[in-house]
Amino acid sequence: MILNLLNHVLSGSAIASMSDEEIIDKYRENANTRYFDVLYTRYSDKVYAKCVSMLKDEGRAEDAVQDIFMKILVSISKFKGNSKFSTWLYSITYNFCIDKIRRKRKERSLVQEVDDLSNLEGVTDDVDDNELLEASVKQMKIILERLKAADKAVLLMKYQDELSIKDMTLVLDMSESAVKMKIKRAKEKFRREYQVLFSA
Amino acid sequence: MSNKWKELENEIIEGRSDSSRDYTKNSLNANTGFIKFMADMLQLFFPGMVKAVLGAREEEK
Repeated sequence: MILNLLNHVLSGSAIASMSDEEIIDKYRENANTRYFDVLYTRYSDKVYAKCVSMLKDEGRAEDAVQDIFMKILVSISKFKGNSKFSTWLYSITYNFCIDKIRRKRKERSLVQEVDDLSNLEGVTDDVDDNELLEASVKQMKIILERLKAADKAVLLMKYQDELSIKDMTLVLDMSESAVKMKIKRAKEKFRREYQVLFSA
Repeated sequence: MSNKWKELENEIIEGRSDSSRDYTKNSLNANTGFIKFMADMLQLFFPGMVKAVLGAREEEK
């Protein structure tokens, strides 16, 4: 009995020190939900925060978190390791939230917006980050509430998740130039909102 | 700039109540439990089908 308990505790601490990718491999081997629980514990709060930012409603965010993790559980065999697990998880999170909002508000999807982008050759993001630095956390929250879901997602990916452009091409399924254009436009909209609301 | 975005994330996480955490965890446990139950039932009553699906997945790899 005591040995069993000790074994349980020791294997628990061993799991805790494993990388996400190692945990996924173990989970695929034996479908032990303890491995999935560790991933859930590591990321559920972060996924929740993204859902609150995107959906603007705590109750909807709670439901979204469980739907997203169910999606992860069911489709974990599709994770190929081309990106970090967190990047893959956030990709599912953002796309899930955008889809929810689009369905609710019939907002135009990311894909439709990409269709509007033309002449993407040599796009550079020349909107200075420093111009956005002036906003406080409280102001950022207000501005984010006014932005479209797709713009919000792009800014969260870049500045909160610190995803590289390459990772963002995987998440958004867009070319590098299209991602740069999306970032540029989102930053411009953020700056415009800031100027309208706060720089009197 | 990044730090402020992280601050925003932390603020939401810190403001999350224990009951919110319990709600999502319990709902997820109920759903995963149901999926596991269904998988066990399939294995019990249709072992051939499960074997065929798993075999096809192995081949895919």
